[in-house]
Amino acid sequence: MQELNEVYTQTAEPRVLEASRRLARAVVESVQFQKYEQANQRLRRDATAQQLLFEYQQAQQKFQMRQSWGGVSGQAANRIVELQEQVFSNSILKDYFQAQEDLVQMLMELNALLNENLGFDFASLAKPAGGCC
Amino acid sequence: MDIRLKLAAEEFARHLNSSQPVKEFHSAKEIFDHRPEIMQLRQEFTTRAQEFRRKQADHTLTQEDINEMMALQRRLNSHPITARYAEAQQAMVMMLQDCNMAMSEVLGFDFAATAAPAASC
Repeated sequence: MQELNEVYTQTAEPRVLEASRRLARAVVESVQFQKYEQANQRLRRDATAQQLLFEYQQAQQKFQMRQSWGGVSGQAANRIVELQEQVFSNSILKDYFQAQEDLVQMLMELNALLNENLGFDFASLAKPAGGCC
Repeated sequence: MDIRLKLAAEEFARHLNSSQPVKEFHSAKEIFDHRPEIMQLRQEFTTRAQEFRRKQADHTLTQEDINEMMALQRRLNSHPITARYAEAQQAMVMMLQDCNMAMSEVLGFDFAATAAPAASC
């Protein structure tokens, strides 16, 4: 999930903002969001799964940096595969990733529905401007 | 999709569509897309830009070509129809960002950044 960008100035009418919040509350009450929250809480309570996820993310980051410099060793590639296997055989992480994927899929469908009604891509226009990649 | 979610999305879209920034955006876009004077200028820009890229690839680009291209771009950007469209889009985007922030505060993560299609660089 993408973190919140805190800085903004308010230009929308109150009724539009209230409709935004009602939509967000409907998302919170959805099955996908509830499952994600539960999976997230289980992950937060399990130190082993958290450590494994941290190691995997660190290794992935290093691997991507080395890849962009063209210096990936067979050992580094093997380490990624090994960690990936451990991550996906961990039931807490597996559930967490699945719940996250389901939620993101639902949010993308929701955005597609908004786009149909609006005639433009809501999320692409509303997301905070950021650097490329 | 959950019916409550669908109804809330449709209600949100209705509020957006009846807001001044979205109405002004659609009106400005309609003119930008269909008014002959701007269509002609945009077509000229597209043709020149293709020619510009071809010359760039062929290494036959001259300073005159660059100056002409920049002048045409200035003409297009400063045309009142383009300016109105750009301003309308900017105002609408600011409002959409407010809505996204209101949603994201409830959700605890950035809705738009999560739901947007993956962008290419």
